[in-house]
Amino acid sequence: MSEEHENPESSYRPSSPDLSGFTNANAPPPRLARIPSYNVPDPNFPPGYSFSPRGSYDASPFFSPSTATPSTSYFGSRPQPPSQFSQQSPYSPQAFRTPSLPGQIPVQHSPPFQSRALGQPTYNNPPPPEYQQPSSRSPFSQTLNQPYLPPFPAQVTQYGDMPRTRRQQAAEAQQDPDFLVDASPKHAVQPKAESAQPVQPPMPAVPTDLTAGIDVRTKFPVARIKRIMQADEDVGKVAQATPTAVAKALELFMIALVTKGATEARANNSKRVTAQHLKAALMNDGQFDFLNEICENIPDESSKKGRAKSEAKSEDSDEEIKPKGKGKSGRKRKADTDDESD
Amino acid sequence: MSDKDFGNNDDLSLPKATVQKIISEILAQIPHDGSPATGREGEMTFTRPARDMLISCSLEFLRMLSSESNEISERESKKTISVEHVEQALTDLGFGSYIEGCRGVVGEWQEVQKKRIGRGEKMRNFGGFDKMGEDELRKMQEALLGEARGRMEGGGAGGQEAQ
Repeated sequence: MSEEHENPESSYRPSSPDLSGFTNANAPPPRLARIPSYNVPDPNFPPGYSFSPRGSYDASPFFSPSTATPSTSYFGSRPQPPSQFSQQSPYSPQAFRTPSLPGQIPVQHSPPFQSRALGQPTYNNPPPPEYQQPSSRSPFSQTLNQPYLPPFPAQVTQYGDMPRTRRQQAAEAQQDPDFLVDASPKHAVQPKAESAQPVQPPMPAVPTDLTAGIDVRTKFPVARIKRIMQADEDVGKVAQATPTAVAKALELFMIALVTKGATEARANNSKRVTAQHLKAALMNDGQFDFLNEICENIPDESSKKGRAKSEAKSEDSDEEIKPKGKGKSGRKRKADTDDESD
Repeated sequence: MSDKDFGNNDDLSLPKATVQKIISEILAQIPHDGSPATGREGEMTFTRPARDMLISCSLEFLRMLSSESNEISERESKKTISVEHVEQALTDLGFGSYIEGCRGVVGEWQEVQKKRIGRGEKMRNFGGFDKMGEDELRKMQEALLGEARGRMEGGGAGGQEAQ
């Protein structure tokens, strides 16, 4: 609380003499250029000190016209004659006092200063020590004025960084999108080399083409894979990197299955890979024995053209749609398989 | 596994659109032999039953890999399944050729994590003001606040004079 009490005072005091300096600089010399008027406050501080009572009078009307744009206020203060100044003097304290009532804590400090300014004999005695403090702080405010320009773009940068921080938090909360965005360009290059080993087609001529060409850029959602892994009650905690590795393994697995299915379809002189082609390919390969239960679910049919194929496809689709609609568990699926076998 | 765990089957299945995309990418990259028997060249297609079967096989592979990894982590008396356990499971199941691909992806993932940490540290040295102390930054902020208050007071006074 003490710091807060002191800080607004320090922040308030240097600002007022700076404004008075501007007013003194603008009133006597009629200068049209804004740049020299901005430079003038430095040499005018000593005359501002000698004209301390007038400085206070100038400061008050400076606040009143500042409702308009600051440039307009600067121009307005210059042509004001002393008669108008004297007329405005009685209004300025009232106007200045009224905003102080709803004002904040630092504004409450300004009324005693104003009352002292009004009392000239009382103001004469304390002015030198009080004014010395703002005079000593004025160079500090000047040093602060200089960084005023750079801090504005700095603030803009800060404002720009805030959404970045939020994005980082969002990225931390959801690793999938961040990983998808960042990994996709790199993954585009690496899979060409990595897919060489996992893909092992039976034909000797094919491996070179398949390994060189196959490059999958689509990624599985990592959160979904983690959920499927933890659907098993035995599975407990999973490291953050594990679903990523499992997603990659699943992609390589699918590449192998699709490649085998395509090879089988081509062997049967067909451009459409059907469930039967996949079944034949998987049953022949010992590496995929664990998929035999799923393969048994698909009926065997000879390659017939015309209505026979369409009927077979419709039957397969119907069979597969029903269990999904019921939403059964893995065990129930096995039970269904047993029922169908019976 | 109880039935309640699979109440919503859609959440425990692979997204069909993603699977279809992967299938299309793989088939597009398989070379087409202009064999005289076929007589026509073009991309191969995957029928819907074949795609559904592929999804079922992938889910089965995923569950088998998860349970195997879980068993390996339990042997090592650890509660968290890490990448090492997955790699060991792949070897035991006969898919050792997939390990290099998985390591590559995990390496990329770790690099992404490092970048995030780097960004966090950069926030501390934001805008080249790291040399200035906290007190100086606080003073700059208060000076700006004072300037804003001055403008507000001037605005209020002007408004009243206008009345």
